[in-house]
Amino acid sequence: PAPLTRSNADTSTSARCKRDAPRFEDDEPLFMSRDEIDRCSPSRKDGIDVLHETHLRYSYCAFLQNLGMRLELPQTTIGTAMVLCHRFFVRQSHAFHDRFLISTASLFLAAKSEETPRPLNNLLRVSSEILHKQDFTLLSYLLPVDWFEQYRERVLEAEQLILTTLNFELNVQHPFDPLTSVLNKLGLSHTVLVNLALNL
Amino acid sequence: MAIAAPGQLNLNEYPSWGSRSVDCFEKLEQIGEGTYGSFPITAIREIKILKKLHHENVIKLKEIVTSPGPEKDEQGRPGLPPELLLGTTKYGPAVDMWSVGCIFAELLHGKPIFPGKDEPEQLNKIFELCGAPDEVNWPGVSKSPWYNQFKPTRPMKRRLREVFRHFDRHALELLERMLTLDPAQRITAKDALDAEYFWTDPLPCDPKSLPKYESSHEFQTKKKRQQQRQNEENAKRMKMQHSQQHTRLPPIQQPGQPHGQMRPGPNQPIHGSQPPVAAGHSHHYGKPRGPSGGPGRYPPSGNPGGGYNHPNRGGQGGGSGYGSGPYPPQGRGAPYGSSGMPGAGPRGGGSGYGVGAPNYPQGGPPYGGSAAGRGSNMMGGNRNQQYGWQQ
Repeated sequence: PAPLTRSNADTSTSARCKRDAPRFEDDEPLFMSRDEIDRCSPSRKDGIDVLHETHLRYSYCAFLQNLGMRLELPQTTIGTAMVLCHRFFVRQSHAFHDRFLISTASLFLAAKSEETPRPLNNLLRVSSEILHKQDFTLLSYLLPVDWFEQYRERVLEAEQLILTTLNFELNVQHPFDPLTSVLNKLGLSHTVLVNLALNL
Repeated sequence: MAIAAPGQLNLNEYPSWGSRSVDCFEKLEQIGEGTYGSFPITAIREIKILKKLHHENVIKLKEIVTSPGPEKDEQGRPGLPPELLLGTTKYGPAVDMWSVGCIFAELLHGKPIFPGKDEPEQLNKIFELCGAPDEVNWPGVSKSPWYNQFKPTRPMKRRLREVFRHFDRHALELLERMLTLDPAQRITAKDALDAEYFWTDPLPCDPKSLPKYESSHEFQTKKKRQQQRQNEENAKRMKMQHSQQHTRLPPIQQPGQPHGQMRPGPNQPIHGSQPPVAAGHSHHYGKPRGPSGGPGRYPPSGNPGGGYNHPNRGGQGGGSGYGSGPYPPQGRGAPYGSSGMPGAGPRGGGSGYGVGAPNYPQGGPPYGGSAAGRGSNMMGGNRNQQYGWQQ
């Protein structure tokens, strides 16, 4: 389950404007159970059921993995981006936010947060190639003149939205380090198990 | 309802989660202005650290509020050292010495020395002046994250000495060491205090005697500059209307003195502690620089080098410490001996060292009396009132 920083107590009844939501007294990370995530996701009230959301979740993770690998980002960065996306969509509905825009922006953000920054233009280029399944040079012919600038602008807006939605909670703890150290202790560091575990 | 269309992003509705907008606060005081557009990695780094940090000496990061600011950051941050511009994440106090060097040079030069609107441009300006970094002058530079991206394509020589050859010799010496590309070779603050520049005439003044300014943040400074421009406009208008009534003119800036208010340039005396009346007729702008034939700046009885009690130099100066050194007599007495000549030091009459009474002649014969001529003469007086400088 995605670790969250706030109780989800009132997400389901969330007509609440954030202006009058001063829930900033404690900084204790709070966790949501699988069941809570399934029940209270804001996508529910927009008619997106659990199964559908699982599928959406899977699709942006696959996209992020692809994008991250093509940008030669380390797995931790890709993992961070995925967690940021999960955190985002447990607070925002899939009905209003294009998940690929959000995931592109969250990878950009994760890359900065994990000290593996990538130039925005590179990222945009690769991401648009994946999304349109076309070579970048072709895209310029297919799309309106200023599509790239517009796309760039959009992703930056999404970045801002992610940051405010997550209340700048960008720290993500990954299991990779403890995992490898446990495998080391068990003397399994050179087995196929390592790769297997890391790719779970 | 279907899922969002490609490219859809709902920015109009506030999420029920997350950080609040800045709108829900009443603004008490603004201490600075952030950047708009993409969130810089430095800010992200800082926020991450502050969020994790729980220490009694560090104020807790309570909350971050944002606003979708319309303005674009108009200028890069001047004063960023090359190691940061090349993407190093491990850096130390040397970054500040670089910035000090930038300000030092700007004071002497009269304008920013690395005016780049973005980071690549700034880096290029740095290379143009300080030469291109390589493994010889900066061991390890090629391992900087963005070195290959930004390394200059053509050979570039260090031109610092040539470009700033008009600077005072010791100033240039010090600047050279502050603007050293390799942070490991850059001068430290401690060594900089020991630089010849601070130990040759004109000596630094007693810090206590420096004029007091109200707090200055970029936000206020911006406003002040606007105000100042307004005043200049008014002054021009007034001048046209009553060309005789100079004394009524609001403060105006000398042309070519971009930030005069905050930064006394080499040729412009501080109006600091000067009584308003004296200010009326003693300004002398554009005093010739360079050595003059005048007598020494310090009275013979003065204690050369004693003012600033540097641990390493204590013996030399008689260890008189702050305040008890040559300053008071020098300031209040006839500063330049009996001749009344402006004993212009290497940097034009010790300007910028407005101690007690100023270092330039007051109503002395050469610049004799009369509030004649310049509207700006009231400036000292006005400022004294405005900013409550020491009298």
